[in-house]
Amino acid sequence: MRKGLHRLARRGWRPVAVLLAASAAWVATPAQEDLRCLSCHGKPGFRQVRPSGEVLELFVDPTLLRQSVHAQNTCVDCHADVDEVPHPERPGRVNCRRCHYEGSTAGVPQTPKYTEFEKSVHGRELAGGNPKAPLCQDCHGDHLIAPGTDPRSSVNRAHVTQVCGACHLKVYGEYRASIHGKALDRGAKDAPVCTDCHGEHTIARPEDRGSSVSPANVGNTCAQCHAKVFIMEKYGVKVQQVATYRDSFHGIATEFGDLKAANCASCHRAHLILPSADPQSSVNVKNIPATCGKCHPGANANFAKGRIHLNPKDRSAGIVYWVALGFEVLTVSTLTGLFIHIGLDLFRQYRSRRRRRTEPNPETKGEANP
Amino acid sequence: MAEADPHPTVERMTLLQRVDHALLALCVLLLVMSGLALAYHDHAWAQVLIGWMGGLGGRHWLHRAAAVGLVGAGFLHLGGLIFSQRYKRDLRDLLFVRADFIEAARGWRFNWTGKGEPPRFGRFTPWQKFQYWGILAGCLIMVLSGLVLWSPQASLTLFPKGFIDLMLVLHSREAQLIFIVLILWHIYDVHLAAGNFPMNPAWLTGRMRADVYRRQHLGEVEAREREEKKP
Repeated sequence: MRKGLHRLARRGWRPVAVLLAASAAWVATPAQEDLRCLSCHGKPGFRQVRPSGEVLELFVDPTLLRQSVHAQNTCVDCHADVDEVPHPERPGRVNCRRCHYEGSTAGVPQTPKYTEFEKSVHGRELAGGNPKAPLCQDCHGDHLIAPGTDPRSSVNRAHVTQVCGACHLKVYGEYRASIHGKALDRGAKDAPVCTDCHGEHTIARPEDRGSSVSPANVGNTCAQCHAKVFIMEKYGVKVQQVATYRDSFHGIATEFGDLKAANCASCHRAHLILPSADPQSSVNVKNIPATCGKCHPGANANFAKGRIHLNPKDRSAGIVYWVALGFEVLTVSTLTGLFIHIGLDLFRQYRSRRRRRTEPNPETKGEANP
Repeated sequence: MAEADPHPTVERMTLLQRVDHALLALCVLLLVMSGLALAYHDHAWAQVLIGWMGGLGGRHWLHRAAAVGLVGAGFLHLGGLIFSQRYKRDLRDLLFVRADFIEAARGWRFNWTGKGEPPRFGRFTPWQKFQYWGILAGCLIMVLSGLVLWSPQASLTLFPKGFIDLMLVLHSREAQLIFIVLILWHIYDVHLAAGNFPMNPAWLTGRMRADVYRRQHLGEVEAREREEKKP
C-alpha cells in the first residue's frame, strides 16, 4: 500500500487529487449537502416578514445554481457563516473574495480583475466603509452567475445598463434618453453601454487621471468607436469629428495636458448625448451659446455661426475649403517654380564657372591676374 | 578711387535698415518656430519644440511677443519711409517696371538655353522686388489675421465663428507659403546665388563685394558708369 502511494506520488499530484475528489464525492455530493438547506429554502413561497415589515423572499430555485458557473459548489461554500441548520441568525453578505483572488487554488479564473476592483471607485468606497458600495454580487448576481457572454447573465450587454442603473438612477435616466440609449433600445449591437466608456472592474472617478472618462482620456474613449469608419458609417456619423477635434485648439490643449480645455463631453455632455438636430441637445444651434458659455463667459450667438468640427479639406467647409485649396495650389506651384528657378540658376552658375576657367571672361578681366 | 581698394565694396543697407531687417528676421524665425510647432503638434519634432518653449503656455506668449516685435519692425519700416530719403529712394527702386519683366525673361532665356546675354538688373533684381512685396503682403495678412486670432474668445463675441475659421486657415496656410519662400528663395538668393557663397554680408556690414554686385546688378552698374562718363 505504501509502495503504491509512493508510485502515485512519483507520477505527480494529479492522481492524488483525482482520488481525493472521488472520495469527497462519495462522502457527500454537492446536491446531497444542499438538500439540508433546500428543505426550507427549496420550498416555493418560503419567506420571512421582518419586524420592520420588510418581506424577505427566501426561496432559492436550486436549478439556478446548477446552471451557473458555481454548479459544483454547495450553499455553504459561499454562505460560509452558516454552521448549523436551521441557522438562528440572518447570514451575512457573501464574500466572494474568499475564493476569488489571484493565486487562489480554488479553481477560480486567474485574472487581475480582483485587484483592479480594489483600486476602482467601487472598491475604494467599499474599503472606506461606504454601506452603499457594491459587492461583486450586486453586479454579477447571486445564484445564477454566468459569463458575460451568456444572455442570462446580469453582466451581459443587454442587462448592464439596468445593473448600473439600479444604483445610478439619475444617470440611467439620462442615458436611456440619449442617442446611445435609444440605439441600444433599437438593438444596435455597437451601442455603448456603461462599461464601454467607464470600464468594468477599473471604473474610476473622472477626476482620476487614469480613468477612461478623465478629461485627459475621454477623447480617446469616444474615439474607440467614433474614429472607426466601419462602425460610424452604419449610423451616418462622421469620423472626422475625432480628427478635427484633435487639431482644434481644444484638442491640442488637451493633448498637452491642459485638462480645463473642452473635451467631447464638455460640449456633448457625458450621458444625455443628443443629436444636434434635437432642440434638447447641448450642441443644438440654439443652445451652443449657453454650452460655450460654461467656459467662455459672454459667449453669444456668434459662437454658433459656423461649423464646429470644421475640416478645411472637406467641401462642407465652404469658403474655408476653397481658401485652403487655393493656398495648396499656390504653395505647390510656388515650390515647383522655385525648384526649377533655383535648379537652373545653379546649373548656369556651374556652366559659367567652367567656361571662366577655360576662356578669359571680359567681365572679370581686371581681376584675373592680381 | 575704388580701383585702388583690393576688395572694393558697394553700400547696400543703412544701419537702420540692418536693424530693421535683424528685428524682422528674428521675429519671423520665432513666429515660424512657435507657429509651425502648433500646426504640426502631433509630430515629435513639434513636441520637442513646444517643450523648449516651456509648453503650450510658453509657446502662446512667445508667439505673441514675437508678433509684437514684427509689428514693431513694420512701424520702424513705416517711419523710415516717412522720414528717410534713402528709404523713399529704395522704395522707388523696388517698384516693378517694364524693364524687370524684359530682364527677367532675358535671364530665364539665358538660364534655359545658355544663349543671349546675362540679364542686366537694376539696384534690385526682380526676384528681390518680388520677395519684398511678397513678404510685405504676407506680413499684412499674418498681422491682420493674427490680430483676430489673438484672443479667440474676444473675437468670437465680435465676429461669427465662420470668420474666425477663415482667419485661422488664412493664417496657417499663408505662414507655410511665407516659410517656403523665405527658406527656399531668400536664403538661396543671399547665400548661394551668383557669387554670394557663403553669404552676402550686406545684412551685417551693410556692404557687398563690388564684383559680385556687378554680376548681379549689371544694369545698374552700367548706368552709373554711363553717368560718370558724361561731363
